[in-house]
Amino acid sequence: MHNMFKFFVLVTVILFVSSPIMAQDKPSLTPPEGFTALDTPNDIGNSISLLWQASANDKEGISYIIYASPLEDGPWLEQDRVLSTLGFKSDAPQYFGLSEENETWHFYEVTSIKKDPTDKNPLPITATTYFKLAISNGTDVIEFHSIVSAAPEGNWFDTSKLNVLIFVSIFSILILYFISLARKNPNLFIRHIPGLDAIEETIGRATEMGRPILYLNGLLDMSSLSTIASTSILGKVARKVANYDSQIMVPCYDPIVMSVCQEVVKEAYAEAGRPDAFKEDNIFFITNDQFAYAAAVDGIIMRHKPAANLFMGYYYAESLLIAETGVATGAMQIAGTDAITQLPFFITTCDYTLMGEELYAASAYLSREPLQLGSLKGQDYSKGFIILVLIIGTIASTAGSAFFINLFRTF
Amino acid sequence: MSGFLKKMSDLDKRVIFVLISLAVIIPLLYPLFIEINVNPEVKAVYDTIENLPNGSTVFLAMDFDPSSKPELYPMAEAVLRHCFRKNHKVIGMTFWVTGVGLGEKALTDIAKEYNKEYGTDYLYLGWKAGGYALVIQMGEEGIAAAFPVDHYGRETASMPILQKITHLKNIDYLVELAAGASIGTWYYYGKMKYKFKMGGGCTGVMAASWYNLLKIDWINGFMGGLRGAAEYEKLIDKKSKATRGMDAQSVSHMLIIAMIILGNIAYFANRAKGNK
Amino acid sequence: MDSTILGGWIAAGLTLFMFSSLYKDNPFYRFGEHLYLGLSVGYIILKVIYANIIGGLYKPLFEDHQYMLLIPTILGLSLYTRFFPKIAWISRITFAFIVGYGSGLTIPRIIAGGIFQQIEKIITPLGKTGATWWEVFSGIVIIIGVASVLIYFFFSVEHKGIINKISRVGIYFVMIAFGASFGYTVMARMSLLIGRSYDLIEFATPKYYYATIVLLVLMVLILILYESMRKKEEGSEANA
Repeated sequence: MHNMFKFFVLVTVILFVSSPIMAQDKPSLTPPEGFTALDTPNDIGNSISLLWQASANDKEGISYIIYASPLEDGPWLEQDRVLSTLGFKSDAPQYFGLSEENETWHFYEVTSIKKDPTDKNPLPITATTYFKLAISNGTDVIEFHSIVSAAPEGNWFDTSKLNVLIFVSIFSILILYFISLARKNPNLFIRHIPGLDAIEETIGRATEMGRPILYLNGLLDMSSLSTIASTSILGKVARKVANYDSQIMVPCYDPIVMSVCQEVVKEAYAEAGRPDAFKEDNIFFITNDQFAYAAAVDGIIMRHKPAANLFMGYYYAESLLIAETGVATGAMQIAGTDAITQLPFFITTCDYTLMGEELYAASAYLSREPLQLGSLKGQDYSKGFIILVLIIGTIASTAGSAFFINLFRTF
Repeated sequence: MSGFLKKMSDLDKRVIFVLISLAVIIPLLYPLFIEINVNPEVKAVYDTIENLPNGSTVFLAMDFDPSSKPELYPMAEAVLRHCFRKNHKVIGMTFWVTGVGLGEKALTDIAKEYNKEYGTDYLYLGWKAGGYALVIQMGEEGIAAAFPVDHYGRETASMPILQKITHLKNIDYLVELAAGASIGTWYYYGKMKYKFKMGGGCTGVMAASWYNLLKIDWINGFMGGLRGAAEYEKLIDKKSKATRGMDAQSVSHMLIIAMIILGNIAYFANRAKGNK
Repeated sequence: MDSTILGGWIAAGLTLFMFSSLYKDNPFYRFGEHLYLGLSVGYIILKVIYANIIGGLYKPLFEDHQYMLLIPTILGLSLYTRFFPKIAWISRITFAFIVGYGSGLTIPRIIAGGIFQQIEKIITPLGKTGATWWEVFSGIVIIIGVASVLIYFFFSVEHKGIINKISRVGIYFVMIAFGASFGYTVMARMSLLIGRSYDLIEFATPKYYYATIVLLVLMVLILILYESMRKKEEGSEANA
């Protein structure tokens, strides 16, 4: 009797001690809270988002199983298994933002539905679909009875890009404001750009030497800002050339740029009162192959030996080839480009270089055209804003605030 | 001494051309086998391809033409060798009409080395006009929709390689070998929307600016110029043209540095003499 | 003759022709230049015709009956009205479409990817947990560099006083960046020369019947002859 009692106590103790250990291997029976299905925000209507709260279920070795069905009563087909330690709303900030609460919600995006478990080409999700959730420890599966449904819909507005919209809007309003201001007052202040003085000196030198001026517009087409700025400067240069009775040659890379340049130069000669001196053949198209253009321009420089070379526009690798040839012939060279990679070569081979935005500023400075002037002023104020943001943002983030970083976050 | 310095500052350019030519040709004829160190940004591209599961798909955008061949073609060969060794599938294309033949040559030559089958292990889409519109079409409608036929005029929709990899979002890694600004096209219209991993290679001219792209996570790594190609060849343990070229590169750089130093000494000495 | 061998001779010859310009302008260089010009234009025209016009328009329109393509075709053709002043206004519709579509597609992406992402990466905390002293120093240098360069390119304020000083700092940063870029580009140019030299060496081997050497010798002899004939002509002109 005494031995039986001891045996009974021993078994009870063993069961009592081992039950928590054994219980750890079984998944919790409590269904996760907040299981919902909704149309994925900020998309084109090709997915549904499933959300459920993180819970004590979430451990190593535990996975959630997602079932889907086109009908509320089934048949239910397994779509996927996701580890309970992965897949949170915070992984998709483009849909759900940057709230800290997102780290406590699971998220799964359904973009297609399998027709059968072996389906290798599931169909995209297009209609209302029903979902169920289950949990598994690898061997046991416990289904939760809550059924949710949603239908995918395209969204007209992507809220994750709101910051871009606001910035573009403010930037656009600034530019439009300054353009209207420039229309009333074309003498808005732009600081003096030293390279521009050299252009007049260059043209005078070319006239004295009796040699032509070579003007290049770069390698981009008329839709490029640098080409627009270049043709604007060409107009001013051509007018001075007409006044001095010199010659200008404009070999072009793009046929449309050529036709625009012909008009610009013709108008410049007319404004200078020398329409008879205009020669259309001096503005010509060569080729739109990069190195063939460079080879041709080199040939022109070596044969005609212009006294002044003006390289205004966007250039690629041919910049040094052309500029070096100009140096070899002893020409005075002025360059203006927004091609950052080519600026070092122009700086070393040319007498003056307009760097980057100085080209646009030079064009606005010379032409005083409201569109160019207003755009430049608008850009300047936006730059000022960015400088302030960089300084204040760095101080704020160093102090522990992620406000500015989140403000400029893109998805 | 002053006579020598005067001669240095008036040195005929053609003397420099001859010296540079010798500095390039002699190491090519008599290699020096200078050791190459691998930079982290090149290793990152290598590690990405190395760690992809075997049979993954790598999209190789060979956006260059013969004028950038010495730098980017060895990169293409090295990346292709690495991909085929790992049994990755490769889809190639180019935005440069004059580079079509180069891309085809690289793919077919390296695929032949590894006995790869066209249409199953690799595909060459060739060139088609469209630029960013093409990238958007590959992302939205599918690669077969953007390129209904490949470079050889064969229908792409039925090709085994495009059965699983239908859209840009399905590719496992995109390697952009750029001689121009096409990295922007692939990023703005490709990676920003379809979120694939991207790395690349560029000419030496653009390499300095690509460090910025690395910092802002446009790319996870890149090979810069001939040196980048040589580093990648070292990583895949298959030394080829890029590695051979590095000897000449090193010698010519040392010559240039010596000439810059001498030229500056001559300039300042002559200027000081002129001021006296 | 094997096309590879012929191709090697042509490649070696044309390379040497273009390199001859390093001496001075000469008929070989001019021949190579004009040949390259003509070939490049011809190749691009053919490729555009076959890939774009026939492959991208004619076949889809007439064989696959994709009649929607008529809209971009008409828009594209209307660009040619620019050559006829009376109806040139029609081309503005296409330009409006191109500019509107292009701007709408590119501007938000460039602002997001090109500006916002850069700002986001620059305004990271200086001295975050685990940062090395080099990372902190780099962060400070980056902020100073970006701000001072942006101030240099600020055109609405005269560069005087403190603005002038900050601009000078900015220009130093710009020049250092250009120096790095220049160094890389020198490397790139050397690489191109190495590539051509590698090919010239290969074409000088017995496999290519010593193409490089033969052509180089021929070219030098012809140039010497050409120069001497030119000098004789100049001399006789001067005497006349």
